[in-house]
Amino acid sequence: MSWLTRTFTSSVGKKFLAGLTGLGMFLFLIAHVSGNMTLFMKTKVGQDPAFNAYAKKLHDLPGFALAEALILLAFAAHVVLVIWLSYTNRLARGEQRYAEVRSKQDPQNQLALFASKTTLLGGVIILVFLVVHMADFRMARFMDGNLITQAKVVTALQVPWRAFLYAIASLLVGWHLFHGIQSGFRSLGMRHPRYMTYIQKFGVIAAVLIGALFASMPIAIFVGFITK
Amino acid sequence: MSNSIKLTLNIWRQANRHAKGRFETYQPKDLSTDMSILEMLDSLNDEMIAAGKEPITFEHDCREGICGTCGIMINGMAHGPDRGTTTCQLYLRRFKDGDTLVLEPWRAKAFPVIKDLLVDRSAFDRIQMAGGYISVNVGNAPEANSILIPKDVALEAFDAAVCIGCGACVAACKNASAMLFVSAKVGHLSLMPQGHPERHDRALNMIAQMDAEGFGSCTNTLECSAACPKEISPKWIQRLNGEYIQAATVTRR
Repeated sequence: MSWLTRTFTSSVGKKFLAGLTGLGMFLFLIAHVSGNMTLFMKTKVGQDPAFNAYAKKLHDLPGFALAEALILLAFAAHVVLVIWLSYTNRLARGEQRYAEVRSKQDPQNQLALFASKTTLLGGVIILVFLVVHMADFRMARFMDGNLITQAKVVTALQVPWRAFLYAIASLLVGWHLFHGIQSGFRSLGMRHPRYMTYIQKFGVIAAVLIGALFASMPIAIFVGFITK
Repeated sequence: MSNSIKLTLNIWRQANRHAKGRFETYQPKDLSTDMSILEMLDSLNDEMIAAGKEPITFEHDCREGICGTCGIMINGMAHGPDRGTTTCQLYLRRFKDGDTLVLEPWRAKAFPVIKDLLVDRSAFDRIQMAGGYISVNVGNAPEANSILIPKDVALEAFDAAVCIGCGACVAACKNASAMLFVSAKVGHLSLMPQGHPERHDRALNMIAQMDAEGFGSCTNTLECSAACPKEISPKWIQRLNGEYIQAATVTRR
């Protein structure tokens, strides 16, 4: 086995890659949520909405297709690695499970503990949501090459079930990041107590912000704050 | 006896590695709040031997919290409810009269049950043999100050060196991961100048052995550290992650 396959098929190597791809997608989410915030900009009469101009500029960027392919690759790698790791983790307990399990962590850690135990479940739900999300907003460009517009976004998210689904999924993304960001940094080997506390705080703030900002869009469209 | 206590015990009984185990309920007589969990089991075993029954097998040695031999799940918590405590240091005064205690062995594929509460932890020995040592010839006792080690580094290494290899981290981890154990062993040696020459091989070989034994991987739930009777910090796991990637990318072999 070459050092490359040996390293990245080991448990620590897989975790390293899962953390790296996860943090890569975290960067993508920052860009994604910031760009979509243009939906909130007021459109003057007779002018194109700011969102449409943003979409045009974004897709005209050099290397956009490459960036999209990289995100897809990171996403696929993340999913495969995490499922692989979870499967071996499940086997590691053995056939006989515990009759009783209780945590010895401090009460103030219980939220983080719950987040760490539900990150995988949240991830699976996000995966299912992304199928709907891609069908809604990505397939059109694939079929007819037309860019997404504010009108299309508003029409889609005015449908109650979709607005509800998008809001819930947005909060789940935040929940996934709540544990995911700091866990990713840990898997990369970040350890100095001086900056680890900042990474933990940054992770929580970023997770809450990203979840809330993503969820604000379907809600604002549903209540009629964002219009065509 | 004013310090007497009555407890109901649900204890895992398993005849051998291959037998199917089950819980059995016991109500030992003459328990005192001054007894440790292990003394309670001794007393129960005396009763059972006198009655001609098969006593409960459990592991124990020093009974002062430094050998790492004892260790069982007590009410779903490794070494019982207290932090920084081994099973032998847990006394019945910690429980209320009439309480029910569930006693289970460590459960992990890499720690198969040998009998009752006794598990086979030789997987830890094999991980140690894969690199948890230094192979320089130390010769006679050296001059104390011939190798200078800053005090804070020595203290930090000691924080990891206190690992007694009891296996509570594996038992408490939802993934039955041995990362806290391996990281403590790799960590304290890599901080010391004597452990430096072999630090890359050590990280690579010990992780390879850990994976081969069938332990899970770390999902940073941090339960291991809370269960650790020596309260070893999860920062050592992060350190090992970094150490491993560094070793894998710079080692010449």
